[in-house]
Amino acid sequence: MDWLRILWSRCTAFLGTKKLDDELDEELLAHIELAVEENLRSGMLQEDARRVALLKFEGLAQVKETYRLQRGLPFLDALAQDIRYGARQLKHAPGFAFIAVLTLALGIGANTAVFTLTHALLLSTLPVRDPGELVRLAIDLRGSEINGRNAPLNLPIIEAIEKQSRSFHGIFAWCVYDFPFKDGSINNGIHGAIVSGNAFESLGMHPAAGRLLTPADDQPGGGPDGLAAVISHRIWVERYHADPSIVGRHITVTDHGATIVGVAPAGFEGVIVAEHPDIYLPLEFQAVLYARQPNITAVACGSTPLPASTQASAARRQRRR
Amino acid sequence: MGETKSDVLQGTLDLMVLKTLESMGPSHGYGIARRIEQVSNDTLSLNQGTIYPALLRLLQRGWIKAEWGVSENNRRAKYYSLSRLGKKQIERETESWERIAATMARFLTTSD
Repeated sequence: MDWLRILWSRCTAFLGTKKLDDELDEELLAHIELAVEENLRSGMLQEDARRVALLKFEGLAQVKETYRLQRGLPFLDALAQDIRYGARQLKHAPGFAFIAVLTLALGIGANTAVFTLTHALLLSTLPVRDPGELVRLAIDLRGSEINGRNAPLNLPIIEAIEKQSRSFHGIFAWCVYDFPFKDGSINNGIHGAIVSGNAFESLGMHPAAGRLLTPADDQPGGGPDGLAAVISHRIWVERYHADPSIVGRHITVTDHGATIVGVAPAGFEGVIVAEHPDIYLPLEFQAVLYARQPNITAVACGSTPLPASTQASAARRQRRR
Repeated sequence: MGETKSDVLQGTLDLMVLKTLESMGPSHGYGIARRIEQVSNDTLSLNQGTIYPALLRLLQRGWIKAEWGVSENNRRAKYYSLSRLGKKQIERETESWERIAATMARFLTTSD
């Protein structure tokens, strides 16, 4: 416990330096005076008495310095001095300071970027049931008429693969979109994803509130709650203060009504690196989107060069079969 | 004169201060320094200044306490006194010092 007592004493001393310095001065002065008086009593002359007293007390300044070093936190004092000195030096050489700061900034920035990427791609795993078993499907059309490496998939293709494949226990569609989003006073863009109804089921996820999307939500006109929407845990907490009564709330996405049916689990940020959807909508929503805007023919992910309405109805026809 | 005086050994000053306070009761730095000089019959060359870092060391360990008081010449002076921990420390250090002294004595006699 000794070290604790010493540290405490040093810390309090560090904070009250001025007062303690004055006290030390006073104490040492009293010492010299007492010595002078004793010398005078023993018959010395005034100046001899003082000289001898100081002689017995070698190096007044040195003693004070030793005392101060032992009393406070000298390394903090030294650190503060070094920082002041460094700042002065940098002020005298602004060019050098600028280059140094720039070098550091670039270095730190590059490191952060590389690590972020490494972390997302190699180190972190998705918070789903079997993250190691997930694969991303793409069609390689190099050499064909269309000639593309990651040719877009559509629902008929996905369903065809599902029918033929033996090695997957679930195949689901996942497309990232940005939607205009309205809910009461909130009116802004929202990052989202259109997913097939079996997506959450295939990933083995459980909702934080309400329910997640199911294959029933892929039916024309939506499932039991109309067009269903699942929101991310992040916006549930940030915008709705984790209010469980959010389930059943009506919102507007791309000028189309939808109902929040549940909240995705905490920590789940989608399955695509660097895409963090805040709202998940069923595939049926894609049909709604295209019915309203029939001229859109190609969308970033998951659509064909066919007119969207044709694609949507093709998907429906397929499902009914 | 210098040859007949020995320097104060590192670590011994603390015990001297503690022991002085035990026998004299509360006293100021000058009083402690003078007392040590007198007890040693002026055979120690004590730089009176070194008393103060030693006092601080003892204060930090909680072995002594300090209080402002009035000296015999009516000046404000800091008075030091032994704490409960300090009394225990004297026992411990006395014991260890006696052991060292005895060991040294044995070495010195066998070398003859």
